[in-house]
Amino acid sequence: MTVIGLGNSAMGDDGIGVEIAEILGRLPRRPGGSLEVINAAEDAVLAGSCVAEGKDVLLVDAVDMKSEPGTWRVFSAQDLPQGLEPAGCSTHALSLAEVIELARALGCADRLRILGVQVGDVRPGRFLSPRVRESVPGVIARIREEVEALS
Amino acid sequence: MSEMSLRIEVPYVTRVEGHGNIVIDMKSGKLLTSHLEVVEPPRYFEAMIKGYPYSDIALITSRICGICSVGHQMTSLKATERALGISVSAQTVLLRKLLVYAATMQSHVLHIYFLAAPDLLGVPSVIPLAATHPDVVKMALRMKKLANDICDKLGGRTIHPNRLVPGGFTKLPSPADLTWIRTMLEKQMVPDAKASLALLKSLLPMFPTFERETEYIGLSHEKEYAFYDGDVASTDAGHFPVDDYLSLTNEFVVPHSTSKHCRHARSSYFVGALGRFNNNYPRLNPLAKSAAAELGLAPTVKNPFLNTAVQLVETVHVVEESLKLLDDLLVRGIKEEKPVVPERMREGRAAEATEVPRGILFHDYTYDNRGQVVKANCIIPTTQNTQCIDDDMTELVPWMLNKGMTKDQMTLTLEMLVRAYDPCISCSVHFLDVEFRE
Repeated sequence: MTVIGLGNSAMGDDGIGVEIAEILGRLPRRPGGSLEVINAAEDAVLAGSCVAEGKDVLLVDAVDMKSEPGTWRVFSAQDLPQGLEPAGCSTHALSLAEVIELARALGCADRLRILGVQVGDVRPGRFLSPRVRESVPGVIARIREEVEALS
Repeated sequence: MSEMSLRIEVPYVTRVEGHGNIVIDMKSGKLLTSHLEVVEPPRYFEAMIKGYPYSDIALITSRICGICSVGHQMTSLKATERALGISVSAQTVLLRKLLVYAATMQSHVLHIYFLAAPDLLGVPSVIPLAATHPDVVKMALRMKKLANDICDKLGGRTIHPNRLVPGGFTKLPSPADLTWIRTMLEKQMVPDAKASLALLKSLLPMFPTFERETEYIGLSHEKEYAFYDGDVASTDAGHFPVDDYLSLTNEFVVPHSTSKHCRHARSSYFVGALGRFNNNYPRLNPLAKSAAAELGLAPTVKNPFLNTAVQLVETVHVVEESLKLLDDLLVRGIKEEKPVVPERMREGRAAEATEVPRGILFHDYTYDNRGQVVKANCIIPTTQNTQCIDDDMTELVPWMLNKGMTKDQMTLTLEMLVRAYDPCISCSVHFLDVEFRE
């Protein structure tokens, strides 16, 4: 499984995906284990590349699903409507919404899942807001469970 | 055309990095407005780094851009090192150049395939191309991923590398890493670049034939097609040292843009692939030179739309150059080196420049005797190109009217022009708006 952390760590809670990738990257790996961790920061196209290579990708990113900050949920492209439009401005070159649509068009969206964490504060700043920070252990535990299950 | 009135507004030009609007206003045959309005707020990085120690500056300024993060780090490191009297080893320079080339590959591939190609193929984005040309899109994704993987092997991350510090690297790549990069470049990137060349050649008739000669500026080096260092070269004014960059950039404020504009010998100048190509053409590597010939490109290229085609020539060049550097490094062997630290902390100031994918980038720092920044100035390529885009539009509008284009065709052509500059208007927050299908 390839876990890709996405986001801008200079923009408050938008950096949650990067934070998760950094923590996962520092954890000891099981020898011969199947976990690959990529800190893609603002570059969502990398997720598209991994999916197109036939990898099973779990993409961790900040989302706005109109819930309480720090709430997180794993979902797939099938859980989202067709024809996603990018929200807000993006430096990802392609937005996450466009990458999901790209994976759909390439016929490999079933290899892509998203672990979305509800943002609270996305103003410029290096730190996660307290409630999003509190979500980190649960997100890490969930990913480790998945990796263990695959092993 | 003499009595023609025309209003074109493109709010939020798509497929560029950041947000900008195109505004064209013509009344009774007189062009009143032809602007790219940059509407991003200022980001205050120069103020943000004041008081920070020299060791942190490149890591912070890397965040100016998620696409050009390597270029910002490199320029920042070079400026800091010269200001504080730090000399890096030949091995560090070779590894940094490799990283700059990989970053150039990934950015150029991104722009050529994901941002510019949809215009040439008459579709609104790369997504329809994935359905009609899946092999091409997969090839583009593969090329970009390999370039990012090379950045990871050398810099420790796919973007925003964390192994680069003033004086060298905190961790060096292994010989096995270098061998892997060499093998993958030769076996995967070279054939993919050749296939890209054939593809782009077939699309050449789709590029607008508009030309406007201007001043072209880029780094220039007597021994190589300059990316990492060199003097500043101008097709109008010759060569001058990077230290004189303020006499080149001449930043000024315009009411329609939050980005400053620049001018030098003329009302504007062009930086980017055309700026480099028109000043460095004789030093292109052989395959890149033959790629340029196949695409009919030779200095002086005056068509701004062909900036994208020149980016492909540069992609071929940096692949060839990387293979040469890798051979050199593999013969020398990687020597364990610790980053060089200043012998004693001192006050100092230095300006340095690097060619990042979108053009020449300047960082200028003044340090106090504790090694903390007291003043900084960063001038990015898009700031230097915004006036050139406006000047192009001023000539492009009558050119399009003379061609009898419809308003829709003109709108698309104006968007193509902006995208051809590969502008990096800003980096900002992004997150997905999620509405579940439940």
